[in-house]
Amino acid sequence: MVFQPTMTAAFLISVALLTQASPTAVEPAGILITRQLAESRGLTVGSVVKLATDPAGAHARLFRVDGIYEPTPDPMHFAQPQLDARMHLPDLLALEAGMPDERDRRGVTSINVALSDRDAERFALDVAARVPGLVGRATSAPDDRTNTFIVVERFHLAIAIVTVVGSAVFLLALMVMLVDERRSTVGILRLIGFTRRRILLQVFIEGAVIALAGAAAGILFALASQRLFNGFFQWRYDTTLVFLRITPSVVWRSLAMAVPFGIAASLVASWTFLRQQLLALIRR
Amino acid sequence: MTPIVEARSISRVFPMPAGPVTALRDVSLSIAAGDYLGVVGPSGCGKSTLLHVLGCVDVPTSGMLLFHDRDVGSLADTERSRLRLREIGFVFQRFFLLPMLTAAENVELPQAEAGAPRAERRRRTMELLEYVGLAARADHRPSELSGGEMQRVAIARALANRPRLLLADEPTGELDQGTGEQIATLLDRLHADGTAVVVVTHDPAIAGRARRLLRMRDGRIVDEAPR
Amino acid sequence: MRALRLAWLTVVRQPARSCLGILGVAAVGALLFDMLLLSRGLILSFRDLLDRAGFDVRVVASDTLPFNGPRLEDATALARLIASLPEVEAVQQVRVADAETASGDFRRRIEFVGADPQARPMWTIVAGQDIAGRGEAALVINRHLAETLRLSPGSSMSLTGRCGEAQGAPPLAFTVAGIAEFPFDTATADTVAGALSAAGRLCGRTTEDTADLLVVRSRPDAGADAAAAAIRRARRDVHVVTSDDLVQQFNRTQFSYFRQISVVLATVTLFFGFLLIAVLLTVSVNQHLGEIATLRAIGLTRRRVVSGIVWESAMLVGAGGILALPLGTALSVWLDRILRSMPGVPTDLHFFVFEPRALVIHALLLAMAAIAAAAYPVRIVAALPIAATLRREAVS
Repeated sequence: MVFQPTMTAAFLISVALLTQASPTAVEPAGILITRQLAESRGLTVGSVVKLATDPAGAHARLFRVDGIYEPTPDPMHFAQPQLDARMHLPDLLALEAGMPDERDRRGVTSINVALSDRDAERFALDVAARVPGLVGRATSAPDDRTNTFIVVERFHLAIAIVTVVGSAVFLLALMVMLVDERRSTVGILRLIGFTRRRILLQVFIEGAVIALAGAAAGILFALASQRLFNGFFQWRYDTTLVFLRITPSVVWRSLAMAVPFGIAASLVASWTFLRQQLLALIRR
Repeated sequence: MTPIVEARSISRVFPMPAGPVTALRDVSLSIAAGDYLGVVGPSGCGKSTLLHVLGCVDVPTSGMLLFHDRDVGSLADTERSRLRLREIGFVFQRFFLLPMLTAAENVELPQAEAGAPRAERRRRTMELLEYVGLAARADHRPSELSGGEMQRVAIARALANRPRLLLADEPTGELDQGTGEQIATLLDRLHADGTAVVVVTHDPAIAGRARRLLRMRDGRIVDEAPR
Repeated sequence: MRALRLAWLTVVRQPARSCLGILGVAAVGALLFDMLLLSRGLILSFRDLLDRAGFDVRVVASDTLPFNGPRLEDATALARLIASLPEVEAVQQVRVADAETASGDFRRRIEFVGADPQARPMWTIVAGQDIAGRGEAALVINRHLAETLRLSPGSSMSLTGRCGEAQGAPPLAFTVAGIAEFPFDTATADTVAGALSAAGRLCGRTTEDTADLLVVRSRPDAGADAAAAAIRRARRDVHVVTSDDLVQQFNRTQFSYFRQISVVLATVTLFFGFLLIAVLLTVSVNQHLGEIATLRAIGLTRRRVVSGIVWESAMLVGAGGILALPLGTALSVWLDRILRSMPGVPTDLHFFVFEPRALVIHALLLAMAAIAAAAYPVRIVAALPIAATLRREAVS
């Protein structure tokens, strides 16, 4: 449950200057910094740093790094390094107080609320009615970020559709060739007395086995690729975000597409031959 | 007179998973211009292997094969291809015509490869098809021809570049007796016109027309007799 | 009978198989083409938007993105100083303010862009007139606002500043002089532009001399880099970025995901296409070994027969590649429309942008795929034992 007077959470501060400083007699307040920030500036637990909101470093305050944390990856900003710090709210407000233009002070931008009864929608409506101007939103409610991911999902789905179409065409081409290789065998079977239906049943079974085996091999390949892709992107963007995940739903959808496609391709290819005159099948 | 082809103690061994198979053992023979040689023997005696070696399609494991006094074993693949293109004509049991080409195009193919100009190729092709009695079927594809007709086209193709030597591997193997007779007559005519002919055959009609008959057994020549 | 003709005859003798192979390459090629368009599309489009404003250097107070950090103080003096530099042709102050206007029972949030009315505008007028020479009360508004509030040139409009603690400043009356396109507007943005002083008056700050951003146009003979360097020498306390710098920055951060995904998908697509053409050719060669052995037996050289295989590959991939271009273009329009529906994306920003370079790279990649796909079947043909193949064909 998040209350937001239209600004983002206050834990990201516009750090204009971050320098290491010598410890002083006054005990500096403690902060936590992200691993990325620690690595980029060579900071460790116990380091004393100066933070300021002014680009020239005016009104800077000293803080001590009490801990280094791995930030929760933000899918909306994964391409930007997460150089964040967390501090107590009074310390942040005190830091902002030095800003000459009060319009630049963000103040408290949101309040996170944990409800005992978890009826976030009702609570949000209730508070909005009591405190006009306050906007409440359940953390599970869709917002702009959800729309972004919906768009990305549609994009990936479009790519997948094109890939599936291309694969289907090639699959049909391969099946046509494979059936052609067995042209004379099929012709002899027909000569002996096998019906078209009987041969198609055999083709169906073979097609199903090949399609299942192929789909399984494809899924195994995808699982292996998943590790590669995630490893690459996590290294590239220095994040723990997972970019690619083969879920059971993805597996079932792949099977649901691949198996019927494979069977249909072999049946269609076989039928184009079985339709021909018997003698045409056995003649070289 | 220098023979066209001379084999000196050639052997051909095929390595197989179950052990090496010796298809030719210490075979020596020579073929001169104008020869008509028949090769007979039981199945698996090495007749086709002998033909393949003589035709530079295969290379002997040991011994020497001379073509116009040139050691074929020392030639590069390109040069052997040239020999097959210009000096040797091949006729196969299963015809091996290219199905996507017409009869005329099949006959033109080796000529084009040899660099003959188009007009010359066309003229020679029609001449050959008339020779084998198929001028009227020039634009037909192999699938539209009978077995005998296909074999005659194959013979025309083999003669395209005026080879000195024609090698035929069971040319009537897939044909009925009557048609086989026609092919045999055609081979006679070729020989009469000066081409050296070597025929591997089970067909008595063809074997009976050869001027020399080679009998083979177990990779060896067991008998060679003029007729 | 050249290898090319033989390859052509081989391809056309089985039209169903060949057509399917070509269609498959077309589908794969279309996707590959689109990924090539995507790889630089955002950068090209973003650059185009930046250039449309007519300025190639930007000056801000800190290294954050414009409008996200502190303002430039003494903006007028700074602008005057920059304008006096020999490398600089023109300078303009830009100030952005939050405002709102009444829309029925609701207040509609507006972004107010303040700029010098006499300077070349950063927007494009599509109806009516610009604000130049029309006084401080003149406004240009964007299409979305005009359609939503049913405003047209000559309409009146009242704006109230959203000024944080300074809320309470009286609303200001404006007259719509024209309707304009703003390069970085999203589909739902409500943007207006007016005089620089009007931006300050919205929150009652008429004496404040600050600007969010100075946009600079360099002299053509000097160039953006020289202008930027001169500004940095003159004022070390400000942050100067050229349009190139901005593009590179966005390329490294915001756009990098799409660049990466385009590379990954292009690689996967190309591999897919290569694999399938290789399988097509290999199966085709294996089915025609007898014919190939015959060609070798009658005297065609290995090279001649091998070149036929390569030509066959080139024909399939070439025909598919040509067909891929219109397919890919249509697909890119569809994909671009999908991605542009993301919130916060300017309406004039495109993800898929055509450049001739993409065509050349597309052709080269497909050519490489065709050659690579032919490698294994070529090896089969080159190493084919003629006699053994003829024997096998005779008894099969």
